[in-house]
Amino acid sequence: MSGPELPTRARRHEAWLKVALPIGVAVAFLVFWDLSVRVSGSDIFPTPIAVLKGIGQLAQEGLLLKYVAASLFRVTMGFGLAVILGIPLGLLLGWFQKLYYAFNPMIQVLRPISPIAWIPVAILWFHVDDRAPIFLIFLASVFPITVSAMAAVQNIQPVYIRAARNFGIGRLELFRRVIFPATLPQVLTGIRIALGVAWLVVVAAEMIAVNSGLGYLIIDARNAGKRYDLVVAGMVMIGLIGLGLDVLVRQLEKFDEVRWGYGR
Amino acid sequence: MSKPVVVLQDLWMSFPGKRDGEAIHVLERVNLEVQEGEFVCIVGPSGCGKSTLLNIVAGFLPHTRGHVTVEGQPVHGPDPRRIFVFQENGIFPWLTVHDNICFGIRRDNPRREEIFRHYVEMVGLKGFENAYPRELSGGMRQRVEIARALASSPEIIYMDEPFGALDFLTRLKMRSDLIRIWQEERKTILFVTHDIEEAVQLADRVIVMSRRPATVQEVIRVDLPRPRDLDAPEYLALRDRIFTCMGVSANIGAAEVKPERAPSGTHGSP
Repeated sequence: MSGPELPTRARRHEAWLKVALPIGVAVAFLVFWDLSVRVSGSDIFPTPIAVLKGIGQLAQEGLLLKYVAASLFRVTMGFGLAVILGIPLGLLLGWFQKLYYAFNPMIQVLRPISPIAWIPVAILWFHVDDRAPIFLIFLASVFPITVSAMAAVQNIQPVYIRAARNFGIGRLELFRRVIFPATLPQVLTGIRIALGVAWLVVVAAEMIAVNSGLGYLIIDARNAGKRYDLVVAGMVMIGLIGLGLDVLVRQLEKFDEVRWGYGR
Repeated sequence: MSKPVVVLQDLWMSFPGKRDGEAIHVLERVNLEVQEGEFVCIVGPSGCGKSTLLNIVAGFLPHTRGHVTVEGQPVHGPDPRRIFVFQENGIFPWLTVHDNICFGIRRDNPRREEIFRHYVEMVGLKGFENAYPRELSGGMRQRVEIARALASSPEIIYMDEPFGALDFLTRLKMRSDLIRIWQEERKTILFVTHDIEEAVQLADRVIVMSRRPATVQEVIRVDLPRPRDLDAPEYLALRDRIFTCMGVSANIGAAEVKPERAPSGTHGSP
């Protein structure tokens, strides 16, 4: 084994492990799941194959796409609203000390209230239509976004602001050319966290307030005939889409304009 | 080199202490004049307030008493005609080398790109125009900041230990490059450092500050031709005088800097 070859080999080996290990764990998990169902003789809990068939059935009936679209639509609306409102709000609170003093305590009281606790209120205000889950998703995501934008402004290295001011730039320019780009990495992290929470909440909200979406699928499949194959099918779809959303937002962190903020 | 551009008259500065009524006196009775086109270094013991002094002159900090005038005007805040180069490196990590250097050039300046090319070459960063700061070494980042300062065509440059975080060899190179650039541009430079060797290598005049509360203890003119011979007896004598001035015996001072000077290759230590 010659010198320069070693690192390449080691790296290839690691790349292979990174693929092989998770696949191994997944296969082991599926086998364990399948065997557990068979050994216990349960006729309610589905095997992995049954779940796969369930997903196939949902796809054939056109429900899969419809429910996924419904859930994604609600997340887009509620989460989008939170981004549009939360980022400017957070930046303002981070920049203006007095606004921070005035509003931060209120935010810190509202923040730990689980969006689930708001469900009765949402139903009271919006009845059983799309606005209820959208409102809940908005509530769930607006706080992490606001708080991360706020902290991002407060964490800006003072040297950037001093340097910019030294060049004589005005307030608006300072915001556009320094404060916004300086906070972007941390804001993006807040957005990623918020999207994760939003996806958690849409499922919970759909179990109660509406009659479409993946959350509704799960509760409906259980209530209408104990179709646990469809319940688990819904769960699997939720997990896969959640992963997809996270991967998508992670792509944004690769841009040169923000990469500096993540320590290489 | 005739008219003073920076004038400090009886400057005092104190910070409020932790307990009420207990002020920390940082600067006391500082009097100083810097001539146009002059390269002045301020040295002093760590924590003596030389950085505070520079921040006051640059308009980043208010002062307690006395007068600070730059180009005949009292200082009320930072000014684009006088650019500050920070020790902790103030270039923007979200901008490329090109965009950083152009930050202080007005967008409507038709010579923008020309100015950029001139300074990117002067600091030796040609070929790195599109690199981001995280892809550069510490020395290169400090070069970007110097180029950014020069590109906005200021009249004065304030430098606060700009090479303090760099390794020894890089620091040596940066010093000789800074001298070359200063000789081309003839800007007034006010340079704060705790490194006596650095001060004697760079400055026309070295201002030695005392311990806190700091005041000007001595002003030493360095009338040696550049580039300076770091083994010339005149150079060593001036350096040792500053060591003595700062309360360090010349022998200890010299012994301390010996291992630092060895890599320059000219010093024949046994």
